[in-house]
Order: sequence, then structure tokens, then C-alpha cells
Amino acid sequence: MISFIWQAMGLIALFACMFVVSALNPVNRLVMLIVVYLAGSFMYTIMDFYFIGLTYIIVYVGAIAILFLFVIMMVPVHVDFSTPKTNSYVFPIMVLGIASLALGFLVFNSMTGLDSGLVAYFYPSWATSYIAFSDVYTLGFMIYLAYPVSLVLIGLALWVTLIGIIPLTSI
Amino acid sequence: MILGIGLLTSAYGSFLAMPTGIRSTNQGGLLMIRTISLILVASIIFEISTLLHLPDNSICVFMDGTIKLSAQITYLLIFIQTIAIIILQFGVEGGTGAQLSRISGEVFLVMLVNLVALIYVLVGIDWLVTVVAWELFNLSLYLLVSMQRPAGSKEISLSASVKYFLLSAYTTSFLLLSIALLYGLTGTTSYDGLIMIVQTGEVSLWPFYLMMLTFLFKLGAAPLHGWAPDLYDSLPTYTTMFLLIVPKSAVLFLLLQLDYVIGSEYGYNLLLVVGAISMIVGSLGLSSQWRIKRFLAYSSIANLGFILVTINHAPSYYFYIIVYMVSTLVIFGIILSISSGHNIEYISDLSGLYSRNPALAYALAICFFSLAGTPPLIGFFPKLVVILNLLEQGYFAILAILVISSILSCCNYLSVIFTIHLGKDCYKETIVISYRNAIIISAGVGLLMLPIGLYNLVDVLCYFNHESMLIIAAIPLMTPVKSCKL
Repeated sequence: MISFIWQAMGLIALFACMFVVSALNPVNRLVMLIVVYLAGSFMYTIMDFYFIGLTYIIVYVGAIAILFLFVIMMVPVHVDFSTPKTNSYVFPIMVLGIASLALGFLVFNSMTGLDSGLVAYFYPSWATSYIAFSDVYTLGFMIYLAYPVSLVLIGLALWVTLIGIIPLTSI
Repeated sequence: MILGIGLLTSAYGSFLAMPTGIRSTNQGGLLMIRTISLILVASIIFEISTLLHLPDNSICVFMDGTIKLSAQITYLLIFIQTIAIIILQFGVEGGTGAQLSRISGEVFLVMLVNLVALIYVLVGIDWLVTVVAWELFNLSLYLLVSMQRPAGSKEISLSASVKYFLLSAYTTSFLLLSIALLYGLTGTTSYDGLIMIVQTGEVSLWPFYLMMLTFLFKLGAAPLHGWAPDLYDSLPTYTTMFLLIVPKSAVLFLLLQLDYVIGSEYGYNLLLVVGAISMIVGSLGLSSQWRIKRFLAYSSIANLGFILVTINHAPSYYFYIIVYMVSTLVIFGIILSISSGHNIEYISDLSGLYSRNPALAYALAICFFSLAGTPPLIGFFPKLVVILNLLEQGYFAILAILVISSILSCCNYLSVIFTIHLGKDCYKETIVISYRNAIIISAGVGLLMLPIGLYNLVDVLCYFNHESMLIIAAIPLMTPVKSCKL
């Protein structure tokens, strides 16, 4: 049952993604983007990563989607409803969506080895390998003790984004 | 590398500490070039001292097994950083041609970040480090391609850079997926997990294929090459030079870090197919180009094919990359230097270069002859080694494709040389280039003409058996015949 809900969430996220890129009205796109984030958050929550799931909602829905809303409010976007209401990207988007679905299915099959009879060893997740800790502890250990290099590199990424934004917006 | 980050911070500090007037005018860029060149020199000295303290054939793993440093990687880093220093020096002149605009300081900062990311991509042996460094590497490239646009072609360059951004982000997600699969299958995120997958051959190979998709896209190998000519054509020449040389050689070196996977039959077959398609597409595409940067982009695709098919033999792989990068650097240096008066966009703009500046025309011809693989020049030897390598392994079909596409691209290079030397001149005035560029270009051309190739060849050929050595012995006999025909 749980696994069924999980896969249903994945499908919802995929269709919402396709809607985001194919819809014409920006507000509809934004709502669907929020649906994508919510589905992702639910998927994390189902896997018992409560902290990451909640952070997803707080950061993406609470902050980033609202920022997009502000942009839509402030930029005068004229949606011309007299034009035919199909997006010219619908076909490529459908192809990409179906392709990613098929790819996911294929990979899933090859991993569980339904047809070839091979055994796949699924490793326990981070949370179970640090079973004594909550997932906040686990994240902290992973980020600050196991991969400090990645943390420094992410800091550098933030820095280069700050540098790049200024000339990009001042053209 | 910790030192590198400290120096990076100090570079930013010096950038911040500049008075606002300097930062906004042209001097800021020059100051950044100087600071960043100094940082790179310090970093190279650091790497040389590392080499001195590293025992032969030893590998140093630190940072809890996420970073690996060996003599081989250190040499590669020194090569990339040296090339980057030379490219930075070209930036002093201003890289956008006709409007003579100087390059703003931020561009060089982004280049420095790109170099730091590239170092971590090469030294990381844990996929979590590699993927974060790969993201940083991509991010700086997106910024680089969208920061500077030539005034005339704003829309084209915008569309090309957006295309690059979207496609690159899309393929990077495949890298993430492959790492997730790798973790699911093997329970480790270190590079060793890939060995398990490929060598046992029992578990799924999907992680490997998805990973290769990302890397081959970044290289612009043929089925995934759609973005490359558009992007290289629409950017300023200076940015194109950086993009064609530094990130490309870094990704090529990264492929060889995975040699235990590439060397296996799955990996090598994939790269043989991709390499053959790249050769065909590159050499066919060359013949229909009239814009010079598109021409060089297709030439890079064709050469990438030659590089990829020899990936299972490390010495010839490195040899080809280094020779190709040096020739590209010199070609771009010449184009950059002569485009200060009139912007060089079309191949026909080079027409009559001989009557305007004979020395530069000779230099450009030598570079193109070297790319075409004419025997006395150094560009001949990597191609020879690649052909020998394929001959030794018995891949005759690939060999035939290689020879045919090599002949095709050779014809196109010759037509460019014909335009340079015998075409009618479209502008009358003589070209004077700066002392700095002249030194760099003449050093590069000297490198292409020196028989350094022969020394390297001896090292490379130790690998081959006696029949191949007989072919080598026959080459001096064939050389005059070949050059007579040309």
C-alpha cells in the first residue's frame, strides 16, 4: 500500500512537471510547480525523512514559489487568450515525459532483476545506517563530517552565483 | 587546494577592496588578470612541490577517502593551469573584436572558480564530491557563456546560451540518477563501486551509461553535439577559446580517471561507436562551414572522435589531447589578435592575410597543417599513434572511418589555408599585433614545429610490438612521398 502511494506520488509529480512546461497561463504553471514540490515532499515523508520533507515545503513552497508569485505580480504578463490554447512544446514534452517514465521503468526492472533472475543488493539508507540518530543528526554527520569538501564547494557555488548575477542583470 | 581556496578568497577580497571607480572602469579586468595569474602560478608551484614530495607511482588519499592525489593527476592539473594562464594573458587585449571592449573583471573571477571546480572534479574519488564539483563547474560555465555577449548578435547568443544551460542541466540530472542507482546497487558512492558493476558484469550497467551520457554531452561528442557549433559561434572569441580548451580537456582527463571502466569491453565499445560518429559528423560538417568559429567547432568534434577511439591507451590519449589543445590555443590566439581591427567572423575575412601580415599567415597555415596531420609537424604523430593503436587491436572498420574522415577534414583545412594565402585581400592595411600576443603565438608555433613529437613517440611506442615498429621504420621513407602529393 505504502509503496503504491509512493509510486502514485511519483506519477503525480511527473504529470505536474509536464503540466508546468506545457501550460500557457503562468499562474497555472506556478500552482502545478507547487504540486511538484508537495509530491516530492510527500515522497520524502513516506520514506521517513521528516526533516527533508518539511524543509522541502518550507523552502520551495514557502519561499521560492512565493518569490515567483511576486515576479508574476510585478511583471505585466499579458496572456493572449485569442490564440489557440496549445503550446507548441506539447509534443516534445510528451515524448520526454514518456521517455523518462520508460527509462525509470527499465532501470527499476533491471535493478530488481525481475526477468534475469539476478539478485540486487539494496543498501540500507543513510538513516538506517545511523539508526541511533534522527535524520537531522544523520544529515549533520554527512555534511559536516563525511563530506566537508562538498560543503566548501557549495559555498563557492553560492559565491560565483552572487558574482554572476550582478553583470547578468545589469546588461 | 585548501591553499587555492584561501587565495581565491583573497582575490575576491582584493576585488572588493578596489575603489569603486577602478572597479567600474576598464582597469578592474586588468587587475583581476594579474591577481588570478599570480594565484595560478602559486598553485602550480604548490603542485610542483607536491610532485617533489610524492614518491614515484604513489597515490595519496585524504579527506576521509574522498580526494585522491597522484603524480599523474598533478601533471594534468599543471597542464590545465598553464594553458589557463596563457588564455588569461590573451584577455588583456579585450576579446570581443570590433568594438574593442575590455573584458570586465567578473569574467576572470568566474574562470578562476571554473578552474577550482575542475580541480575537484579531477581529484575527487567519491561521487558525492564529484557531483558537487561538477555542478560548480557547470554553474561557472553557464555564467561564462551568458555574461559577455557581442553587441551585434545578442539574440543568437542568448538563445545559444539558454539552449546550453537547459540541455546541460538536463544531462546533469542523468549523472545524479546514475549516482543514485550506483548507490542502490553497490552500497557505496566511491569510484570503486563502478568497478564492481563493470567488472562483474552481472548487475545493471545503467549507472555507467547514464554517466557517460553526461560526460559525452559536455564534450560535445557527436550524437549529443547539437549545442556546440551554435554556442561556440555566437560567443565572443575569447570565451570560445576558454570553452574549447579548458573545460574540454578537463572532461577528457576525467574520462581517463575512470580508465578501469573505460578499458573494459562495454565502455570501450560505447566510446568507439561515439568516436566514429563524431569523426563522421565533424569531418562532414567541416565542409559546409563559412563562419570561422563554427568551422573550429566542427574541427573539435572531429578531433574528439580521434581522441575517444584511443582512450584505452593512455599515453597516446594524453599526447593527442595536449597537441590538439596547443594547436587550438595558437589558432584562437591568432584570430583574437587579428580581430582587433575588423571582427573576424567568416572564413573569407581571413582572405588575403598573407599580404597583410605574412608571418601571421605562415603561423596560421602551420597550425592548420598540424591539425590536418601533415608529417613534419607535430600534429602528424598523435594521429599516427591512434592509427597504430587501432591497427594493433584489429578495429579495421573504425580505422577506415578514421582515415576517410581524416582525409575529408584535411581537404577542408587546405581550403582555409588556400583562402589565407592566395585569396584576394578584403582589407588593405597591414596588421600589427601586440608584443605579448606575438610572443605567445610564436612560442606555440615553435612548439608545433619542433620534433618534440619524436621524443614522445619513442615513449608511446614502447607499448607496441615489432610489426608496428616496422611500420614506424617505414614512415621516414613514406614521408617525402606524402608531402610531394600534398
